[in-house]
Amino acid sequence: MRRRIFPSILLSLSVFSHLVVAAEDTQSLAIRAGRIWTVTDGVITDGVIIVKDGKIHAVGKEPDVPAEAKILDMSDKDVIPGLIDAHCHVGLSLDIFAEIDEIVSAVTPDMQILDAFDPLAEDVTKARSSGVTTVMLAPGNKNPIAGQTAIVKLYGNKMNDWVLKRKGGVKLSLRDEALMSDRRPTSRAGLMALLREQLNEGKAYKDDEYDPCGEVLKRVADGNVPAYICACTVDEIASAVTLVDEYGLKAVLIGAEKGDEIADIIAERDIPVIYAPLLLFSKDKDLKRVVKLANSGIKLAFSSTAPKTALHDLRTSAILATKYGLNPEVAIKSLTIHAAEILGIADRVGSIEKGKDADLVILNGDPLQLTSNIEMVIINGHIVYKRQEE
Amino acid sequence: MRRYAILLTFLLLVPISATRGQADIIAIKAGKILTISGDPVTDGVILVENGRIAEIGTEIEVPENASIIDASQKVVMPGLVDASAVPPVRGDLNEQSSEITPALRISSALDPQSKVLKRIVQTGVTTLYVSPGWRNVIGGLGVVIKPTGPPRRTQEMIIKDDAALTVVMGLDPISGNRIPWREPPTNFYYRRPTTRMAIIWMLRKSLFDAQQYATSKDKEDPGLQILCSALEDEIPIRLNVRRAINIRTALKLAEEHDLKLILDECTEGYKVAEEIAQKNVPVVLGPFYYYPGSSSQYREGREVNWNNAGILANAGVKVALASGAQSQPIDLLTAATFAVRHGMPRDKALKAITMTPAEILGIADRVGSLEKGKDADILILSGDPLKVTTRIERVILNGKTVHKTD
Repeated sequence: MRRRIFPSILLSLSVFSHLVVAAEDTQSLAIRAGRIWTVTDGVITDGVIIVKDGKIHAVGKEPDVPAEAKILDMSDKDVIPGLIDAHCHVGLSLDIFAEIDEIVSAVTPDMQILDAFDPLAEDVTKARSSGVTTVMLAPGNKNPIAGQTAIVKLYGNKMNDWVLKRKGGVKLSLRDEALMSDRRPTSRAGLMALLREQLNEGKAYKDDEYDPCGEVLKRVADGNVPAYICACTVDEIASAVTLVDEYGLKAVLIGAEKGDEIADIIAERDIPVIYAPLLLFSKDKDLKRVVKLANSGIKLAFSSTAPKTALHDLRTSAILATKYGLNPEVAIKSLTIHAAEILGIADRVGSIEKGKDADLVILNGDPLQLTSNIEMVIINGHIVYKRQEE
Repeated sequence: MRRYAILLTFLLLVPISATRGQADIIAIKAGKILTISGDPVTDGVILVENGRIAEIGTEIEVPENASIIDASQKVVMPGLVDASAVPPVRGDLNEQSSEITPALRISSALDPQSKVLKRIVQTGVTTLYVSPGWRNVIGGLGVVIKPTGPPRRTQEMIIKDDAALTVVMGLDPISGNRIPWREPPTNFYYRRPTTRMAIIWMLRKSLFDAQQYATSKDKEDPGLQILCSALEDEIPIRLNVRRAINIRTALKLAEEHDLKLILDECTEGYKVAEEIAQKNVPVVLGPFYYYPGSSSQYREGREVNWNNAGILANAGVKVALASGAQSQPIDLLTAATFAVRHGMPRDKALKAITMTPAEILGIADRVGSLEKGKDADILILSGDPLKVTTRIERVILNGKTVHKTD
């Protein structure tokens, strides 16, 4: 019976994923798993996860299984929480040459990336199939103050179900990409002068005269919303740290590829890092950097920056990092709970715990092995992907 | 039994503390010490403790735990101070979107991994001034750094931020600017200045605006605030001038506004040496030559006079020799050598790459000479510093060896 249903579900998934699966809405699930990686509470072997109303109702060796629950037998499989891609651009139509930078002006804190998000885009479906259940969408790197990020689930009935945070924070870019020859800023020092000017304006902003940019900048300058600062080289990171020191920003570094060179400076200020994707063809010495960063006590999340790189690179990043010495436990946490903590959504996602959203990824082996395949992805208790046997 | 245990712990502790002390105190036994501030010392000793010079002289007891650097056949002098160095900054040094950018701080763009820093250390420079570019009329604030490390950290390199305000009177700011003639302006390059008179006009206008701001202050403006500090002599103005006519204008402007000036480049300074000396304005000379085919923005001041330094120094001007902020600079020792060859007194030439730039940059209490209490920035040379055959054998920065030739 199940066999016949699933191919049909799959077929419809590829076309009308969000509509068809919605038919299963009220169903409870009981997932019998070989290993449950709770992430926050170790690994449970031969356990059961009860999913009810889209939330995790119970986890354990032998919880009470409700009579109406549909039982999924995954007793030879591994279950991990849904992966969190802390920085990517899926569903933003980049594949059809849309832009994610409003480059006419260098300062666009009032732009909201969610307004460009298309939930039915093809790469969103692909993202789900690579185990990603939650993403932070961000504008690009070409504007020093690029706009507001959004944190979305990759499944939902209505738009409200998708969105965890409409205004996740503001993305700043200290990259060379933010410099242009015919727009302010044209130089690195000018970029910093511009950011200081804007943050000063934000600090001085008063509510009596409404200004959408001023309001956002005020919240960033006061440290009320996170500033996601894109900085990769040592000088860029040093500049970011300078801003954090001067204004007390609630900063998160994005990229930070050379961050290990000044890891102690980042760690001293407790700045978390959303690390750039690690790729299979990267050089050894670059792949080792992330390990040093993690070992100096910096909280780490991974990102795929998809569609610039492939979506499966999120899990590959963590796997490659473990190859070069990252503690496997830290690696899996970086993909899940640490990312959720950095993005401020740890109350909803990031681990297999009672009360959290039922975002689960089922693999046919150790999640930190390249040979393991993703068998099934569940978001909010709905099966949104199942691997097709070839 | 316990007594033995105590004894044993003591025995274990003693060598550890001894090795620690060794790392802290360095004794340099030198054949000749050029202190710069005083007379040269023959067969002297410099004691370095915690990155500073603890003791210097001939009859000094060397502590037992000190690690000894034997330079008894060598010449020792203070680390060089480059008052206008190649900036270790990636990309554009100028914010081209505006001509007046006083709030631009080059310190916020320093690249600690820049290869430039390594080369600078190799030429014996231990303190350098980094300026914004010369493309804008008012370019921004420069910074004094030490190339400490490795690993190098921006935050640890800076020893004096907001050291001077870069202002340009040479022709550089007009390059790239266009006149909207028969065509509508399409970007910000259609702007003043496009002539020498407009450069001076913009400068005067900015100073006027700053004066207005100082009296009214209705809305906070970081740029004008910095210009106010410059008008109140809190921040010196580094004025890039090349032609004699510009130097005269600069001196006049300084008199009008009572400005604290430092003249940069000063290619034709020899023509107005007496006037500069009379106004007591220090000069940072350099660069000393331009490569053929180098950027067209150096239309003026291409002819370089090696005797410029000598003439200025003999007229009583405080002259510093600097490598000049260009991509392939001359090293400071060579610059001093050639300056002496063309008429600069030897002692003044040596001061011009150590003490004088330190005074001009306002950091003479820390660097520029070998004196008790100053930073241990020390060069060990194979022979006399003003000889082309002499080479730098070791560079010590804050008491640590940062460069060594085998």
